[in-house]
Amino acid sequence: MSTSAQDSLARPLLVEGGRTYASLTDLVAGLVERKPPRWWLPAFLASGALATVGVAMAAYLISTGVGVWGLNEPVGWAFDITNFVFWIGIGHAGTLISAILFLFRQKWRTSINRFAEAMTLFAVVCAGMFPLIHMGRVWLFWYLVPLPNANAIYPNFRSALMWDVVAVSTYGTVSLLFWYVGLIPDLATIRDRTSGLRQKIYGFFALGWRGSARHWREYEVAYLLLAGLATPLVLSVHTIVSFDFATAILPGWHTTIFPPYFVAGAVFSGFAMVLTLMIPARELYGLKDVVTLHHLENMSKILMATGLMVGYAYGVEQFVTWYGGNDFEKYTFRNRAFGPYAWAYWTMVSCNVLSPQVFWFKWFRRTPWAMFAVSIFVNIGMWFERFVIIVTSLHRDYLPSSWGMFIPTWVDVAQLAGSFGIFLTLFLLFLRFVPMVALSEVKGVLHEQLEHAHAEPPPHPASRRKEARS
Amino acid sequence: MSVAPMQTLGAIAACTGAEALVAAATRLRDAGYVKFDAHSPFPIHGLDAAVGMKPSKLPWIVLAGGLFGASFGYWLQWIWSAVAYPLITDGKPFNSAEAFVPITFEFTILIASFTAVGGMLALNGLPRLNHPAFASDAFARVAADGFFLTVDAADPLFDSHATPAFLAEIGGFDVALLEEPST
Amino acid sequence: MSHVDAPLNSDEVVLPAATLARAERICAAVMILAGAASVLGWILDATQFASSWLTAFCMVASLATGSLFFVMAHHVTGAGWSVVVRRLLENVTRTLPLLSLMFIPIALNLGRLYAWNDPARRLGDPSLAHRLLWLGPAFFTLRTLLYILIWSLFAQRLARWSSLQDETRDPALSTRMHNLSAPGLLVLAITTTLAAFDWLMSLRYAWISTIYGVLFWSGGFVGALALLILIAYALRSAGIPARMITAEHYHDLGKLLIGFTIFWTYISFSQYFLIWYGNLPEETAWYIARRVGGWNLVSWALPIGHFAIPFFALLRRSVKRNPRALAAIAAWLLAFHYIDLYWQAAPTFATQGPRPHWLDVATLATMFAASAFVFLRACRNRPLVPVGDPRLGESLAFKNL
Repeated sequence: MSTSAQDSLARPLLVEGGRTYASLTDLVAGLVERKPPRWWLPAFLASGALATVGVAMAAYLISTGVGVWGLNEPVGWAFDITNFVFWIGIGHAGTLISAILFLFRQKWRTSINRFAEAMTLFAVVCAGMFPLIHMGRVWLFWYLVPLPNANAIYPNFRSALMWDVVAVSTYGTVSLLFWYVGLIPDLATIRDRTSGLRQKIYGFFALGWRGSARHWREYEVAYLLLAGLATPLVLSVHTIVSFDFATAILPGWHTTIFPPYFVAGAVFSGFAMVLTLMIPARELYGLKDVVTLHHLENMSKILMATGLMVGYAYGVEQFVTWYGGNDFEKYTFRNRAFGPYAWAYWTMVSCNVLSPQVFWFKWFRRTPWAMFAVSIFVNIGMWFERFVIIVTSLHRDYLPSSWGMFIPTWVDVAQLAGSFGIFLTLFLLFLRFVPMVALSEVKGVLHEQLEHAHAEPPPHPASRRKEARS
Repeated sequence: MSVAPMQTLGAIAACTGAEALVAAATRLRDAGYVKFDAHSPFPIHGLDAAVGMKPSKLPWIVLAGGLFGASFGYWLQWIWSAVAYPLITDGKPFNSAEAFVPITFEFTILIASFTAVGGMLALNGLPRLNHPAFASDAFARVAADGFFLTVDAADPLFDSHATPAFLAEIGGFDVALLEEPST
Repeated sequence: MSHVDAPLNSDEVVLPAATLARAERICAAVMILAGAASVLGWILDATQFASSWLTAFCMVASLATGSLFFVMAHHVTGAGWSVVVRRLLENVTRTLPLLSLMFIPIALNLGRLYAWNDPARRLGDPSLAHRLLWLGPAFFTLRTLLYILIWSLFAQRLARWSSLQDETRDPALSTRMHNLSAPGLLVLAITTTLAAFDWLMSLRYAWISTIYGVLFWSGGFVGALALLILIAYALRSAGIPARMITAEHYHDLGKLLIGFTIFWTYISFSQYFLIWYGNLPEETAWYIARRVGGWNLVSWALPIGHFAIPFFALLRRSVKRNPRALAAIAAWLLAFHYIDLYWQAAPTFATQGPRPHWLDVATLATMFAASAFVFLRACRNRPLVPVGDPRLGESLAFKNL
């Protein structure tokens, strides 16, 4: 019997470093209670400055007009909707980790779900911003709300854009609820460890939680139900986003695989963003006992799997386009790969399909900087995927006389950069003021681990070794 | 002790860990106590049975919320598109069921989620500003690494001498009475 | 982590030889009778025979590939709970090579089944010209045989290593099965998609839907789960101890069943919805053909019988944990999986409405009996659980929270 194989099959420890309940609490709650690390303030100021750029660009657009962007006939949608789909997609990994992996009893999720859910919320904020400013006259937003009025202005419930508004606001609301429910016990932890004003604030949000068996019972049922509700919700949100395109009978947009393909792409990009944020954070905050290499390896496996799903969709689209033989469809796909935006198409293919293939090799799955590099590629690739879908289908459609090109202006680029500023600013505030690891859930995992260790004395050698290497 | 007359609200005892808590709670239940509770920093499998609780009603409440959300979502679109402002758009019928599916679905999830959170808080009696257990200083560890049993003074078996003694007997330590100045 | 030896003895989880022999005899008898009836039907009404045979073929193929998917997904995710049911699924996948025999009547009836093989159309329809590069009879047949070969090889390899592990208990074999399954899933996804395009989508060659492969897979996976639940339930009455597959395992299978029933609904609705909304004549033709006469009724029966009823039935925890109730729902879903495939294939031939025919039953019985025979053969010499799997203990002790 080979011992190395035995090792690789054994369930790795999810909390390393011989942690106890108390030391785990000190580690995570301490990050909120102590002064922030030295890099925090400069980072906050820098991202705050970038966020200010984003706000300023939005103000410039609203005061001047949508023409400050590079939009024109025939490309009336470009960066704005690309950014919208990009950000909303990023959010989906948070829900996947908190809800779907919960339903599949993937215990390793407990170390990263709080983090990923926060990412979801801030990504939805960034996403929601773009359709809003794209309206130009944002004060007319109320047209989307079904309010009786004398002008006979009514929302068109048969329009994909209306579904989008409802889906994204539902998604934002439910994500916030889910996140907050998960936070309640941890807020109580901080309430009990601090004093003064801070205790009052955390105590207010902890709602009087006292970890009673009755509390936990209803709490666990509610959490399970929310996970069960959030799972179809996350599918529906990106499905409805894909309907924005697929219900239009435009070549390259109208194809039935769009719903699952968009969902897979969203999870793919979201996991890339979780890795992008998590890898530096676990270094900087010393969270390696809680977010172990095993966690990162799992995430890179999911990244590869979802990348392959996206690659499958690219392949099916190309094959069926050829098989279907529609001239307009065929031209659109030829134009994507070899037309003026071919560079964007091949960036998308190499980043999304090729780069995650390195995860077939274990070394890449267990080397944080390599994972970080791939995650950046995937972020880039997934942004370009939406750009390719949106712009290449619009810029050359049925009539060659109405063909054109889209060239972004500096405002387009600055608005995109600004959205990253807003995202990072919110994220840094989260790291500062909210326990970034779901303490009560990790304690539950630690409890099982301790119980198990009790039943089977020797601590597992493989995971010790891995720890030594990291 | 203090000068003001004290009112006894209950008794509290700490336990060494999750297993001890379940064992002690089981003994309390078997001894006939009904108004008692166990507190822990994380949910413990089997504790709900030890405390003697029936299955939660929350799933039924949420199901009702979801069904209401679905009917409301569809009704809203129907009344708006087919009754109040009937206009032909996209060449679709006024009451186009297919097109109403996305928003109906979103309303189902939205209302059901609110019901789940609201229902959970309501069934737990939260938010709540104060609670007798917070009178104990040791109890501040409950959300960190403490495991506690509390017995409410309203329990018919409660006795300010016998109950703390029994708590100590079943494995509790740092046994104390929860008291506050009576008004 | 060395597990204590599994609390199940190897001889406890082997079906008694007498039971097996009796079941095999029944299967053989059904196969011969139904097979003879099918041949008779072929002589009497070749088009009806071809249509029924194709539907039944897609049914067994979707169940076997769905089971192969489950086995591979189990290995890739390193799942613990499903170890106890893995051997049953492996035995189902042993029927995959049989598909090549079952395909022969289809290969001999391509002209009756597929309009693209009609010489008159070949001349009259210019849109067909480039499709024939893909849909020529020789290439079509060769491709199907290739899919079956690939699936059989994966299935055979995984089942063999699994048996080997029964004897050697070598955990390295688990790693090997894991390593084969990761690329295996990718290959399986591509081949099942193409198979769905070939067998079913090309029945109306002018109609295309990029989601069709996912649709075929999602239906097949629901079917495979339902079949697994029924097999587990049947074993219980054949005397296999109830602690092999406990209420906990039924609970999980029930959760997967409801989850993938929802997934099937999601995929089916997405396809219908986008075609309905886009309203392009070349796409809507497929659904319009399914609104003619009695087909409209079947189109309504699917969302109700394949989604609403099982969904509400499976919501309750107590139902998922009750083997008898769960098996009833599984049988219901298996029947609706067939109706789903029938609804996809048959309107090409019965254009005025569904025309249930005794050949539908005969062909399905032939294939099910033949597959069951192979399944029982696979059960003959091996324990019904992978007794050498290092995670068997974890699976047996598994508890839902």
